[in-house]
Amino acid sequence: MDEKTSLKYQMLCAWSGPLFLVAFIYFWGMMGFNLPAPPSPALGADELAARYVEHLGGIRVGFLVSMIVMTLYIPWTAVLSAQMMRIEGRSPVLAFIQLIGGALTVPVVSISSVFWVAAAYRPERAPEITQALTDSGWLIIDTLWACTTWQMVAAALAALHDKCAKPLFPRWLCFITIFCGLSFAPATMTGILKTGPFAWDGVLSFYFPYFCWLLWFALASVYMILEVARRRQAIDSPSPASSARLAHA
Amino acid sequence: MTRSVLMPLQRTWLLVVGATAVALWMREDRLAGFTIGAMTLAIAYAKARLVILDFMELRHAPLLWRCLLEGWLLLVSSLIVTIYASSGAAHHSL
Amino acid sequence: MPGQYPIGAARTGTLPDADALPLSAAARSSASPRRLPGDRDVWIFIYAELCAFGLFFVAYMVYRSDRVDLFNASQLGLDRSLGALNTILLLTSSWAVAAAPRAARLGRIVAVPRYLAFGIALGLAFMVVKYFEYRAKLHAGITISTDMFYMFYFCLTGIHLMHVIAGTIILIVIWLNARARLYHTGNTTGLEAGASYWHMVDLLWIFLFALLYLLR
Repeated sequence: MDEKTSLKYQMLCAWSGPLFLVAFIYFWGMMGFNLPAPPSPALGADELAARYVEHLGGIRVGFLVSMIVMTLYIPWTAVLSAQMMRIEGRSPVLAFIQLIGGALTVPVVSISSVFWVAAAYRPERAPEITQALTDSGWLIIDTLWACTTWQMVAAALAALHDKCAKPLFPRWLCFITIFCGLSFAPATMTGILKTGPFAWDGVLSFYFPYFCWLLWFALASVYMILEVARRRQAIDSPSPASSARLAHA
Repeated sequence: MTRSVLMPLQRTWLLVVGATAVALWMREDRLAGFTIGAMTLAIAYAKARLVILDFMELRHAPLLWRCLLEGWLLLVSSLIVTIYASSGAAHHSL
Repeated sequence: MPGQYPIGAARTGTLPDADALPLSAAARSSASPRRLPGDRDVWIFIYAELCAFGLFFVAYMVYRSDRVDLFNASQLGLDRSLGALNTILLLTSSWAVAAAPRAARLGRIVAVPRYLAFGIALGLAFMVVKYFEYRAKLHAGITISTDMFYMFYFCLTGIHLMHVIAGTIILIVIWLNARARLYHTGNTTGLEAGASYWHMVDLLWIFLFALLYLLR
C-alpha cells in the first residue's frame, strides 16, 4: 500500500473520533436517558422498573445503537497507535499500552450497555432482577475505568517525547490528558455508595469524569486529524515548509 | 543576603502556622455560629493566599497566572462562604 | 538567572557569599521581569487539579447545607489535634520545599537536597498520621458508609492522600536530581515544577482542614 492510500485510511480512522463523540452523546446519553441524569442508585426497584417501562423504546434503541457506536473507538485507537509508533520507533511499548487500553475500553462501555438492554428486555419481570441488571451495567462502566486511564497516560507520555517541529499533541494537552485520565478515579466509589456526589449519578463520579473523558477525546481527535492532514499535505504538495513541520525540531 | 532572601519565607511560615493556631483557638473556645465559621474561612483564605504568593512564588509571576490562581482562590472561597451563609442551621450557637 | 555566577562555582557548589558579589541574585531577581516558576504546562495541570478539588469543596458545602445538624454532630468525631498536626506538617513541608528552589537559584547547591529531604520527611509523617487517624475511625466502626459526613471525610481526605503520595514521589525524584547536583542557578525548572505541585497539595489541605475539621 502506498503512503497516500495509507494516509487516507488514517484520516478516516481519525474522523471516527468526532463521529463517535456525536453518536455516543446522542444514543448513549440522550436516547438512553442517561442525560440529563442517569437513574439514581437510590431508586427503589419498582421505581426503576417503571423508568424502563416509561422510556422503553428510547432505552432499547439508544443502547443497542451505542454498542455499535462504541466500536468507533477501535479505528480511533488504531490511528493513535500508528501516530505513537512513529514517535516511539522500534519498541513502541507506550503505543501498545495505548492500543490495549483503548481496545479494552470498548467492551467496558458496550457490555455495560448490554446489561441495560437486558434490563429492558422483559419489563414485566420482578423489579429486583431489573435493578440487579441495571446495577451491574453501571458498576461495569464505572469501576473498570483504569483501562482507559492507561490508554490516556500512555498517549500523553509518548506525545511528550514527540520531537517534531509540530508535535502530535501540544505539551499542555499531554498534561491535561494525564489529568483527565486520573479524573476517573473517584468513580471507584460507585461500587459502594448509593447517594452523594460519588454515586454513579453524582457530579464527581458521572458528570465530571465523563466530561473529562469526552473533552480529552474531542481535543485529541482534533490534533490527530491535524497531524494526518499535515502528512497528507507533505505528500500532496511537498514544500520546505511542510517538511519542516514534520522534521525533528 | 541569603538569609534575607529566605526571611520572607520564614515570615510566611510563621503567618500561616499562626493563622492555624488562631483558627484552632477559636474552635477550642467551644463557640459556634456563623461569625466563627466566617472567620475560619477567612483565615483559610489568608493562609491559602500566602501559600500561593510566597511558597508558589506567584507574587512575582506574570499577572495572568497570579490572577488565575488568586481568582480560583477567590471564586472557591466565595462559593464556600455563600453556601455556608445560606445553610440551614448555620446561625445556631451551641 | 543564568550567567550571573561563574559556571564553575555553581557546578562545584562552592560559591562566595552572595553579599560579596556586585549584584546578588536576590536583588537582581526582584528587579527582573515577572517570571512563572517551573513549567507552564505543569501549571495548567495544577490548575486543572485545583478546579477539580474546587468542585469537591463546593459539593461538600452543598450536601452539607441540607444536613447541617448531621454534619456538625458527626464532625465532633474527628480528631482535631491530628488534623491540626497534619496542617502544621504540610505547611512546614511546603516551607522547606519552597526554600529549595531559592537555594538553587542562589547557587547553594548542597542545601537543595537537604531542604527537599526535610519536606519529604514531613510528607511521610503526614501519611503516618493519616494512617493512625483512619485506623482509629475504622476501629470505632466508622466507615465510608456511616453517614454523608464521613463519606465526604474518607473520600476527600483519601483522594487528597493519593495526591500527597504522588507529590512525595515527585519530591523524591527531584531530591535524587538535587543530590546529583542537577539544579543550580541556571537550571531550576524541574525543581520548581515539582515544588509547585507539592504546594498545591498543601493548598488543598488548608481547605480540607477548614471545611472538614473546623467549619460548623
